Amino acid sequence: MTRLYRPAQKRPAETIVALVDVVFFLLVFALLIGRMDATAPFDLTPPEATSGVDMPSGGLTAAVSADGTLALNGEPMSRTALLRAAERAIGASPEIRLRINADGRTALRHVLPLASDLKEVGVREIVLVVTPDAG
Amino acid sequence: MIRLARQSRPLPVISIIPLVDVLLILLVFFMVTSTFLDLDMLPISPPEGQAGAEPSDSRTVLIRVLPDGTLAIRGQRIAPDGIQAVLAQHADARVLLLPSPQADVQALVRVLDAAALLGLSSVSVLQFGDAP
Repeated sequence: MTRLYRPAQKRPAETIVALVDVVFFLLVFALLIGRMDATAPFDLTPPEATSGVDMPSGGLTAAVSADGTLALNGEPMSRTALLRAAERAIGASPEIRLRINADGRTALRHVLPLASDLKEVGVREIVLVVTPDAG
Repeated sequence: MIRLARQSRPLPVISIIPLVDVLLILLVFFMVTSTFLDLDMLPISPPEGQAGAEPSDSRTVLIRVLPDGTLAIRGQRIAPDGIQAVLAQHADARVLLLPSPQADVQALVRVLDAAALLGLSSVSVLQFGDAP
């Protein structure tokens, strides 16, 4: 009896390149879309508003916690240091926008004088960070 | 003369698996540490040249934001949900907001939000100055 050997089927080569492509894509997506928590070194909940508009990222972000603690671009600092840093940034780029990311429960005595002082050091555009009103 | 052929060295194989491992770890790191917040901006000090047009009416309405977040106009308290109706009555007037330093940001944003929804062009926020 003659035994016929079936030639072993060649397994298709599993290409890992497609997987790497997908992982790279997801990585870049997470880098671009995700917002690192660097803009506020403390917990804060921005006020809610329905008329807020989407604005391009960039510029400076001054965070104000519910008890009035200040931070600029994620770095806690005193009010004087914040104003000095904002003045330096304005000197380098006069059209820079400044976002005030204040907690909704922050007393206005911590926010409005800060906005006035920022105007005085030359900040031309100040916006308040809000979250879309769910209601 | 005898020619000795040197055997070609096999190229080292670079394994792609560690690269994929590193990428996956980076991906998980960014997905865990990033926050995906839907944030909008409310202009409180528009750049020069983009400020709203002057109101056609020369009247001025002063709205106070009281420490508890309620509003008062000409001494009368307004419920938070009634601010839009009040502002609509003064759509052509200049609106001045005088918030108490103790009022919270949400109270001020509520008024600015209502004004923006009505398309009021002239809303200014006043504040008490420091005592001399």
